[in-house]
Amino acid sequence: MFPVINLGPLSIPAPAFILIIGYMAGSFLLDKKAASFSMDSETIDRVLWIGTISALIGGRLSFIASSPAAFKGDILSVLSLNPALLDPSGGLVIGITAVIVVITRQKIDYWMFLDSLTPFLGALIPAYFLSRFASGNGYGFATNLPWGIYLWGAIRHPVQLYLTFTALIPLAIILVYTPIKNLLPGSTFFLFSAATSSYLIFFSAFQVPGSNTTNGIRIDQILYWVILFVTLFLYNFRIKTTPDMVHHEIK
Amino acid sequence: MKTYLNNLRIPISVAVLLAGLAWIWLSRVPEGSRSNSLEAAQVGFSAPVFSLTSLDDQNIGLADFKGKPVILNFWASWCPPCKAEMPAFQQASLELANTDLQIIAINATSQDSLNDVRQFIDQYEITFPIPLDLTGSSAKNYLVHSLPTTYFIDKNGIIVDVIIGGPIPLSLLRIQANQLLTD
Repeated sequence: MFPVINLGPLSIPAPAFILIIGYMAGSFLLDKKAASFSMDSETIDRVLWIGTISALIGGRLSFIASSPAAFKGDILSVLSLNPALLDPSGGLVIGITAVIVVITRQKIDYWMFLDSLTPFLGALIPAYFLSRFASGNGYGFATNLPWGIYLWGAIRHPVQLYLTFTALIPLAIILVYTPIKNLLPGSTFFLFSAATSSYLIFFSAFQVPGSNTTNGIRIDQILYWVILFVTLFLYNFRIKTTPDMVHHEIK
Repeated sequence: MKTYLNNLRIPISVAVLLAGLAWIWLSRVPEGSRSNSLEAAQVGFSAPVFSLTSLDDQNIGLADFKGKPVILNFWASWCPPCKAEMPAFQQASLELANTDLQIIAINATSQDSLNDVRQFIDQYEITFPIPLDLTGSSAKNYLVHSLPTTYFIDKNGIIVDVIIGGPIPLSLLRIQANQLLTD
């Protein structure tokens, strides 16, 4: 766990720093791989920026909307740089909505857009897990295994490291093998999403849950399973309803 | 080969989904697996206890506020974000005076001077308890890597949130206080 990087008089919050590095690496890979998915890198960059800015503004607005009375007499705090004043889920919904609006208006192909986004997500997701490791959040159950780490009074499963290393596998596959020939547009994203939700279902079992359980079942795992279900359903449905391309694929 | 794999696509998908469901069931959380009986400076754990003295030689310890939610801040007089957020803490303490919630701001005295601390308290007209961490032991127990750092502790003594860095605006203190008081 290393929540702060102290560089002389500077104290840099390590989780935020790692996330920014992951975002930048993702943007770089997105630019590099855009042509592989028949997309213009400038267009994708623009959409990504609009999505990011919308998510940040939306996250702040959603946070304010959840407790407007708290800002009475302290209206300037709506401009605070403190990230604790962000609602991540609200920001995500607003960011995704903004992206959908932009790609619809600009008549960008949804499936190709999703495919071209996978290198970005492939870099951002391991950075996210590493940032959780740096913050000490998402720690694992106690273990006797030799690779356990001492954290919060016990030798524990380094769950966030399991997730970080596993998340690097889809990233490596994307970097080495994309574009996969004769694959239906959207398939790269679906396969990436299915892989991510699968390993999250698996490794969440080693993590000490917060209060989000019902009868011992983790709500997080149920959410990942629903994502996996939707992903596989859409993937199979899309292949079934696009006979020309399937025919092309199995030729 | 590709045709064969294509025919297996749906059975593989169903198998993956069923395996996922089975794993979710098998990995249910065992009773008593929560770690909150342990003391650690992390969300979900019991807040490390401390017993320190104030400028007027009064003993101040976390145990004094048992059963009450606590906002615990670590600060130093030379730290700019600590200066920026202290008026918000003072305002919040006045607004919350009629509630059970207690604001405590531990001064990292091992990195500060008593004169500066006294001056700081006078300048910001602070009325809530300011224990002095003369040896740095409390900052060490709370793994304070950076100032300011603030812990939000519920009435059961469990840390529910940690904010490293600042300044924390008054609005956020109000929201956090409200959550601590309603939980």
